Amino acid sequence: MNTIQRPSKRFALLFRALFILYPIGVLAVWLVADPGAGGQWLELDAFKRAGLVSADAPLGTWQRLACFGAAMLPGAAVMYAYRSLWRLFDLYAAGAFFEKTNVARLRDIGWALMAQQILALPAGALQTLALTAHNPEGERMVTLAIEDSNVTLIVVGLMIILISKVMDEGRKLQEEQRLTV
Amino acid sequence: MTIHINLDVMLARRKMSSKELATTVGITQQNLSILKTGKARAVRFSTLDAICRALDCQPGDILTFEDDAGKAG
Repeated sequence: MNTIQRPSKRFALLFRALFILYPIGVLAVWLVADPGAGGQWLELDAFKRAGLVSADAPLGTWQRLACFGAAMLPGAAVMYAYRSLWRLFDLYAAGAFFEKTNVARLRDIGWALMAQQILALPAGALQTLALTAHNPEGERMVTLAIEDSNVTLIVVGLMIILISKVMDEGRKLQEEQRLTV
Repeated sequence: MTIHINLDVMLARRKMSSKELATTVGITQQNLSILKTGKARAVRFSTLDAICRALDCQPGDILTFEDDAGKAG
C-alpha cells in the first residue's frame, strides 16, 4: 500500500503547487509577451505567425489583461482539474481507494478536461478580438478554431468519466464485501 | 429491510456476550455489530452455521421475515 500512498503525497503536493502557479504563469506570459520577440513557448507567437499581431504595434495593457481574462476561461477548468487531482491524491495518500469521494473526484477531472476544451473556443475568439482591436477597419478578427487536440482531449475526458463509472462499480463491490459477515 | 436479526434476544437467552460470540464464531466484533444492527448486506452460510452452533439454535431463531410494506398498507 505504501507504494501508492507515498508517491500520492508527492503528487498531491505537486498539483497543489500547479493550482497556485497556473494562473500566475498565465498572467506572467500575457504581461511579458512581446510580439516583436521570438520564443515559441509564448502563446502570442502563434498569433504572430497567424498575422494577428505585429512587432510594430505593441500590445496595450488592456489587451494583455483581456487576453489573460479570456485565457482563464479554460484556465478555470484547468485549475478545477488540478484541485480535483490534488484532492484525489490526498485520498490515495490517506489510504482511501474505492470510496464515493474518489469516484466523484475522478468524474470531476473528466468533466474539467472536457470543459477546458469547450471553453477554449470562446477564449480563442475573445483573444483574437482583443489582439486585433487596434487593427485598421476590415482587419479586425474573431476566430473560432477547433483542432484535433481539442477533440482528442474531449474523448480523453469522456474516457475518464467512463472509468469513474467502473470505479463506482468497484466501490459497490467493496462495500458489498465489507457488509458481508 | 424486511429481514430482522434477533441476535440480541438469542444472546440474552444464552447469557452470552457479543465479544464471546464473536470469538467463538471467529469474526470480528465490528462484523458482529454490523450483523446485530441490521447493516449487513449478506450473511455467509459458514457464519450462520457457526452462530447457530455457538448459540445452539436454528437460523429461524436469529433471522425473521417481517413484511414492512404489508404492515404499512
